Amino acid sequence: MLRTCRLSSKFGSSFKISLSRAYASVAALPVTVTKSKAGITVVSVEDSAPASSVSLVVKAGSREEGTDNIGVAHYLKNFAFKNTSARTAFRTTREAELLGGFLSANLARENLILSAEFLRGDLGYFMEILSDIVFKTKYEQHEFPNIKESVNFERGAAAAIPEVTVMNAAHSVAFRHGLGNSLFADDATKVSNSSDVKAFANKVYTAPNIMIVGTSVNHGELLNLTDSLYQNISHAIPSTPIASKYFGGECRISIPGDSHFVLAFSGAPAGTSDYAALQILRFLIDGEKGTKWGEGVNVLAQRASKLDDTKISFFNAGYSDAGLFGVHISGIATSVYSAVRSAVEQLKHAANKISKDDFARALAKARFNAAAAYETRASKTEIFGNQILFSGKVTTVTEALTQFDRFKVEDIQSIAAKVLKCKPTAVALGDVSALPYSDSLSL
Amino acid sequence: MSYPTLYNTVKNSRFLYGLLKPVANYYASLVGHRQLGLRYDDLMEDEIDTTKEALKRIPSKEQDLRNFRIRSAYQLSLQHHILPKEKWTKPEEDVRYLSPHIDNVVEEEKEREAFDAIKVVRR
Repeated sequence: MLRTCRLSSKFGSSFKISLSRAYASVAALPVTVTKSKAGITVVSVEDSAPASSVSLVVKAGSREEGTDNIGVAHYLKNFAFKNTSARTAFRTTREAELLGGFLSANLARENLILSAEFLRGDLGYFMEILSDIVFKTKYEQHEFPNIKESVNFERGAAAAIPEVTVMNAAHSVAFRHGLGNSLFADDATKVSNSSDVKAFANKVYTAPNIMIVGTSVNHGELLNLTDSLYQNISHAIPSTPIASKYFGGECRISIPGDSHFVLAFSGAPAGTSDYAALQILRFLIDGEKGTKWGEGVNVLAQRASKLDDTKISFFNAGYSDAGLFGVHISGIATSVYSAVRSAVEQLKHAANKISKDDFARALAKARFNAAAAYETRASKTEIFGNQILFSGKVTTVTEALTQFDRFKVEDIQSIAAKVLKCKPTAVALGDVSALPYSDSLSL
Repeated sequence: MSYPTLYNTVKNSRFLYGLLKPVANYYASLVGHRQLGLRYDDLMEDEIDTTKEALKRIPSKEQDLRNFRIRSAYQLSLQHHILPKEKWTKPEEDVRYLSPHIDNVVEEEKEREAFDAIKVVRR
């Protein structure tokens, strides 16, 4: 009892402070951006944390694949940290382990992120490991069957997660090519040997395509290492990908188990003002609760807690030249059906009327979400990498927070109306006989 | 392979190369594998783990050709025949298609053993 009292009093006082001083506690992180001699952009954040990370953010996501080498980005990801002319894959792993480092490769739709996380002081070693991937990977044919096995394993593991399947399908329906390419190489891929992967690697590992993002590292040191390690980088200017176009449409996949439904619309490119507005709209009608207890505040959250095991969550995916805004609903087919109807209702309602209170709540959530994205090493790397790739400059936390200030209720209403005008993307997964069609949703 | 070798010394010296090359050629024809249509690397024992691993690394077409050569050599040996001279493996065809892979595997195993027995010195 005493504890609860103390907690609540603490909460009250801090709440007062936060009301009187709007985000004064957000210290501006010193973000430095420099071009190296070879033309590679080097970004670093000095937040004096004991663990550092360095990542290569390469414009080599599934979007860069063509019809002749679909799936190759996934293979390239799995060729990272394999045999190089400097070290074997085994040596790389063991040495990284001895230094207490952590190596990882992540593929997104627009970029491939090769990361090393380590203790301060080991920067030189891990920079070398990362540059060896670019320059010295052997792409040996006898490694290919193992790579293929891991690619197939990852595809299988992803296929077992309906959320991933449904979002992948939504992207392919919405954008068809480019952003619509699957993140996972399937069996029909034309990538049949390591030289296909090597050809793709030579195409994407070029100076304008690569960025080096360091967190908690000395910028000068990072820059010097980049200068010396990347002298021989290719300067070929990459072909600009075909501009994304939103199509929309319907996709129905019948599988046993729970049902999933994604209803999506054309969103806005990341970093634009429309994207920020959509972010507010997202949190305005999102059906996820902020706390474990209670029924949630807005209509959809209450609806979701009434229908058992049903989740209603809005998403707002932003890319360099397009975006996808929508809702993902999961649960038993019949509850999904009614939840989709309520979600559409709420979206339409938002286009007409938004109360001041709801708007303030959505704004706070959107701000928190933006600030939280600057928290971890991985998310910082991704944020800065994407910002440089998309617009050529970084947005600091303060800028990310103040961008929400200019919006009024009417802006959100108009963006909701604008979203509803485009042709919807609908993906039904699960018991498709009981799931709605997009044209039956009275959009 | 892991035996001391003077191969590079001999190859780089014109005198030694000129002196020993005819001997090497004579030895190669003495071994007799070429008369059966085999290549020297076909004689590597494939029961050994390193060779097994190396065999996995050569292209499957190369593996098939190797198996075919070994089978026809067995057949010839069974019949106490050798090939007519024009069908013998020519010296330029007798390439070491497997040994580089075997060397790699041996190196990798050594590396693995070295790491397993490593003593880490913290600075």
